[in-house]
Amino acid sequence: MAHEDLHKFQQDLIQDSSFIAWVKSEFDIDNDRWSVFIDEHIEKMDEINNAIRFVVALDFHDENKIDTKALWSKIESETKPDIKSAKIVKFKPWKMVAAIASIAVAILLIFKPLSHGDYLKTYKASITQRIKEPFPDGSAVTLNPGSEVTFNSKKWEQERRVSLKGLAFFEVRKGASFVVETDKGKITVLGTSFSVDTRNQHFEVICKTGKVSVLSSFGQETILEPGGVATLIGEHLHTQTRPEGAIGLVSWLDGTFTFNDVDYGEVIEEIENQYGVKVNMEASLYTLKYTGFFKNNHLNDALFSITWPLKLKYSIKGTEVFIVKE
Amino acid sequence: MDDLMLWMQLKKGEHQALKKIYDQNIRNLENYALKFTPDSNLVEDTIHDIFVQIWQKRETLGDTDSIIKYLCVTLRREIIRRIGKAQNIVGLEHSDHKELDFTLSIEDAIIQGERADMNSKKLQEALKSLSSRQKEAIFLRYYESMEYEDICSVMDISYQSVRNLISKGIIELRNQFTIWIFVVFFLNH
Repeated sequence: MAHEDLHKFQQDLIQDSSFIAWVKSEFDIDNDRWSVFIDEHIEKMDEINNAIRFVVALDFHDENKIDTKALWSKIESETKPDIKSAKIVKFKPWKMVAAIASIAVAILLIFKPLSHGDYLKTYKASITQRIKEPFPDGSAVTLNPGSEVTFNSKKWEQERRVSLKGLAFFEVRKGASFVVETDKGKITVLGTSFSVDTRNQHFEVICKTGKVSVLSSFGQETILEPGGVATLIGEHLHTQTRPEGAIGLVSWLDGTFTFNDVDYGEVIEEIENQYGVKVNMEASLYTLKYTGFFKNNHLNDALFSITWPLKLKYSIKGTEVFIVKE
Repeated sequence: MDDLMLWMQLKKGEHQALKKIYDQNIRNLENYALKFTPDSNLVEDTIHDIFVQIWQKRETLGDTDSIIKYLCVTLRREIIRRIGKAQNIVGLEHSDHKELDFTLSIEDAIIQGERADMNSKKLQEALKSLSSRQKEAIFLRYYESMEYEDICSVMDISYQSVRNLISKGIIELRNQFTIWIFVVFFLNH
């Protein structure tokens, strides 16, 4: 093919609305159309990749300078018609009596049905399966494939305590403390939602709502507020805050798996987990560093997402995947 | 919900709609305005006034099928007017703002590792060679994901001009970019 034609091909892609939308939505919008397009133009993969790189590079996002919450408060106070000062409600004595009575009833109810014996229950998500399971009090856990939690269902009302292997997201009803135990540390909360990742010797806790207390196995403790992330690096518990509303605070729940400078082998393991395939590749590739993401809807898309940035090629044969250097 | 519906709700006086429009667009507006001026206080004040005005005039607002376009048109006019006032340039909003620089820089290129730096630097240099209007059109197209028709309205120029600005700009950038990819390929093999 003539050089000019290739340029024209790339130029057309770069200027195509649907192509821009597809790349900028991290390969979500119009994905079916572009998956087909790639299959049909597989011999021009280099040109397509360059066009993708180009559009990705044209991201003119500056560091945010405006405190959007404060600005909104100002706008709201000047536009909202019915902001009145909060009413002060006086606490009436009879309400106090009612409150004490209901607490008493609650205590009776809690202690009455208790019996002895251990009732260990395990929820396990098998390969390729993501499950959401309830605890006796209505709290819930979402388990990534290959992860499991164990808890004592009989003692649940006395102590809410689970042990976790793998990656899980917890939504906790308000109540007494809720404890998650892992090899690398312990997480204690009241009522909140948070994600815990213990895969591949990692230990990472992300607090989505409420407050979360994290105690590492090395004895360091930290309290996380919403958006807070605690990561164990060596023996040190490192904390940081992700901006509110940041995309993918707990992205795996939405089916997006993000990786930040991790060994490629971990990415491959997650692919195998999500799709139940076996990936074959040269040993040297396992230690490459990868930063990026994949979505767990189509195997083809996921493999494309994790191979093009590293200039790798993939092929699928049944349940086996082969990844090689270009 | 699409823009048309949301806009209707705003016109009916639903305050939630204003909040939603704010949340959906604030970062894009901030980013756009900051390309005209580094003064974040000026940007903040302008955005504040625009939202308060939209609310006050909600009953007489025209219809729009693209809220971001509407907001960009308003923001652009207002920010250029205010910068002109500050710099004592009369009627800047009606000129093609030759006096104003539209500054583009690439700080968050998401390309891998050390390549990100190389990539940013190369594109950065290439960007400097473009005109302000080329940069603005490319920004609206690739950052705000606007259609050509919408860019015409925002920049108040013809369809053909927008296409030319972007086409020529992209070719210029891509030449740099392709040379760079070629060099990296060479170094790696």
